[in-house]
Amino acid sequence: MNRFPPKLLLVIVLGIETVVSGWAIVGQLRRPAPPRPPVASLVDAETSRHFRELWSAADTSGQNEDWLALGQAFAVYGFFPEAERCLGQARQLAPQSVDTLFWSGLVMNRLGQTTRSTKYLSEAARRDATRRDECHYISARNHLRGDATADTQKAEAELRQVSSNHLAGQYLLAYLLVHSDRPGEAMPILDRLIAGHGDIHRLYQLRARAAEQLGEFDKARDDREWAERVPETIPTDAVADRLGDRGHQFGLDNRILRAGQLASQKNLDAVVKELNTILKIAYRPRVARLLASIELRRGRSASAVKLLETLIRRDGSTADTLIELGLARQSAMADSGKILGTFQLALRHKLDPETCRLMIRLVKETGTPEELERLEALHKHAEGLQAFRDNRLEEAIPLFRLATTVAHREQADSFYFLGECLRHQRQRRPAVNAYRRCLELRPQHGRAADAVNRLGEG
Amino acid sequence: MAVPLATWFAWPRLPALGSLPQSQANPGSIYPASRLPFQKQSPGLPIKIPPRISHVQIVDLDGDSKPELLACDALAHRLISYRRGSNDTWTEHPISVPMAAPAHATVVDIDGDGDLDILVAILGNAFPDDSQVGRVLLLERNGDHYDRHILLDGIRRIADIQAGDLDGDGDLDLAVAEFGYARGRVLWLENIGQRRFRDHQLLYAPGTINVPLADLDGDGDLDIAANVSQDDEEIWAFENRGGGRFQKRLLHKWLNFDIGGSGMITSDLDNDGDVDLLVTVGDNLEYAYTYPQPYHGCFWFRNDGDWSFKVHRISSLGGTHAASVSDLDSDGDNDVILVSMFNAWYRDDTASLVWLENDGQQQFTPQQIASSPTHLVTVATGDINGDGKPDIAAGGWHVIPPFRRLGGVTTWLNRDGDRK
Repeated sequence: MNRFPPKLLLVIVLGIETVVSGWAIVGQLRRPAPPRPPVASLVDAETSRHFRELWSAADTSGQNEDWLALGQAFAVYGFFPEAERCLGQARQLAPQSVDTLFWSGLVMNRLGQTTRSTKYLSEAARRDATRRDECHYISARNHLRGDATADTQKAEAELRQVSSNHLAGQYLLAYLLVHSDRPGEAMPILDRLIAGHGDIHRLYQLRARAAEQLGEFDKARDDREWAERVPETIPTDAVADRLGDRGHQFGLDNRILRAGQLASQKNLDAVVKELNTILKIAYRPRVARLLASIELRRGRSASAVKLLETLIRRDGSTADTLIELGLARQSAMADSGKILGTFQLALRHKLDPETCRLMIRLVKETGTPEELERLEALHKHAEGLQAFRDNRLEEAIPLFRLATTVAHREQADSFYFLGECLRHQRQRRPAVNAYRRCLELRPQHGRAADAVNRLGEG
Repeated sequence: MAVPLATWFAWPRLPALGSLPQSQANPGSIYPASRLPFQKQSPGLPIKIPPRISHVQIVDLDGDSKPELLACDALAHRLISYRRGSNDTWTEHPISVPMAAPAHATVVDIDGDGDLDILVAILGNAFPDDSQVGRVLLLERNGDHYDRHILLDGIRRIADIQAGDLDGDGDLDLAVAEFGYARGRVLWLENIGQRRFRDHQLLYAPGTINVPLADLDGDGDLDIAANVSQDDEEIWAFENRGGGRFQKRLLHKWLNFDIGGSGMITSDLDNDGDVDLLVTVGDNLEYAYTYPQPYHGCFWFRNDGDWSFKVHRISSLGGTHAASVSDLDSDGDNDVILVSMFNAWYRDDTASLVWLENDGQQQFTPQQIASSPTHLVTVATGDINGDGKPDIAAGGWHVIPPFRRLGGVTTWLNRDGDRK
């Protein structure tokens, strides 16, 4: 019965407890600490606070997800070496995690370590079919950074694996072929893409380049003219877009996102309070703009004017900001000369139909009939340009015709674009007449002179 | 029970004493300190908001034989000249002509009346915009003020204008970089008198940054070079065939979609009598937070004659945005001065201004002049203080974080030999 005396038993138990606890404590002490760059001095207070939470989570839980989240936060705020270290830890904890592999690929890309980036992206593509196109696309961009023939071949191999509906990937493949002096191989790809996406100007520009290489100069010119009047583009900055998208999940950007989502007619007070708090934490132009627009909607035009004036002082003026300021001043019953001056300044930045329209409304009350007539013509010209750029030639022609009935600064250009619209509609004689009228007003108008020459009327 | 309880209590409070493997990443471009001493100055008013200086040059604008600094301020939408007084003081003189986002100013006597006029490349919008917001603006000097003339409008964002007699008729024509955004062109503008210029298209491609003029083929007339940086990353030349005719020549292309062309200047870097090109790459503006890349830096396009250019990488400064050439150390060869917009700015010791010392054989050794201010996009060299030594002026464009170590126009006076 008493083969083990109690004291001995106690010593054994204590010993085991001590060994086990000691082993556990040493293990816990030896766990890796998350990297801690001096974020407090580099980012705003809200983001810094979020980083502390992410550090704490990674530090205490030791889970892959927490290290991944910290790595992502570091990446979207530009702490790429720190992101690399966190993602390394996340990979060690969960080597199969597709998210971790994918983000490792992105971060290595930003660090310029393209071989490692491609390695992780290949692994992510192998494990997750939904990411395959994006991974191959970024890997191709990685290879192209090498700028040697072998790298180009590797890039092409990656792009050949991208599915035919991945627009950026197909565009890059065609780009690579055109710039590797294989325009004939690029042509069928570009023809197919344009058939499906006729409103993307980059496709026409690239096909023009290919046609030029093949000696098809008329086709090249046609495509360049198409490129001038279709509006859409192809997003080709996959890594930047991914980092940007994830940015809204962290720190102040997340708080801005949540404030924006809150905005509704019922709780504008709370949103305004929150946006003001955000501006105090860190001045963000888009927050100031949003706040000004809410204040204007609430009838607090003086506050909107103040916000927009500060925005212009801090971030410079753009046409859009000046239009908003003009509207706010109008609402605040400011002096009409000052309002008109603001819109005039906006016009200096951009010939915009909306600005013209707003000015017309003001000039109707205070200006002369000649001023009004000129502004209305300018308005039609601006609307005509917008229609031309969207390839709405049927709409553009009457607008340019109206614009050319009155003398104004852009009148020669109105005749030129009227000529362009008519030429694209194969109305040769009226087109030549319009170009000639343009040249009478502005003999130095090179594009009009070229057009007349091309139509054999020079 | 005491040991497990104590362990359980202490467990969450135990600090992590281990460390992750060190990052293998490039920490950013850092170089040994410059062996030449420089004295840094910040002309202008104290900085309250992040500046956006798109271009700076050292030029004697008013003809008093004392050079001024002329800067394009794309935030305040104006040109500013800075005049240096005695005791290293500066006064700021805005040129009060309205404009929207000036990108580049070219000082030239365009009308041959003996004073210096200014051609201003107007972006209209400093940020991506594909509409017709650009202008070719002439500020014609008239006594103590400038008269404003629009030479060309209805065009997309203009990044550069250069003046020279391109058709051999004795007056000054213009080469124009219509950067645009998704669409753009290279133009030459034929001077047809009375401040009227007829535009001719040389190339249809977005993203042309600079159009320097030089006799690239040594045949006695001016050719046009252009660096195209948006959809394509290419260096083009337009060979002047006389009478306003040009033959386009593709000098180089990078297949690296990300290379980020940022600037180009002409210079006879190797002093062999022909004109070479210096091309900088390192633009990264598509990212909210940037990082220097191994392919960034500066390339010397050595002119080997007959339109053949041999490309040599002479620097890998991360985020390189502009270059200037000058014999900084007065040893008879050309050194290169580079600025960076996108280095690893979270660190305090990464370079924003470096010079590459030429050993006379075009082997270059980088030396760091400054790490502050950051985000430099333009650099010029010239004798600012009249001591016969080339000094440096640079401009900062602060639109992405971190917003610290700010600077608008900054000068570095060359103090080489002052200690002797």
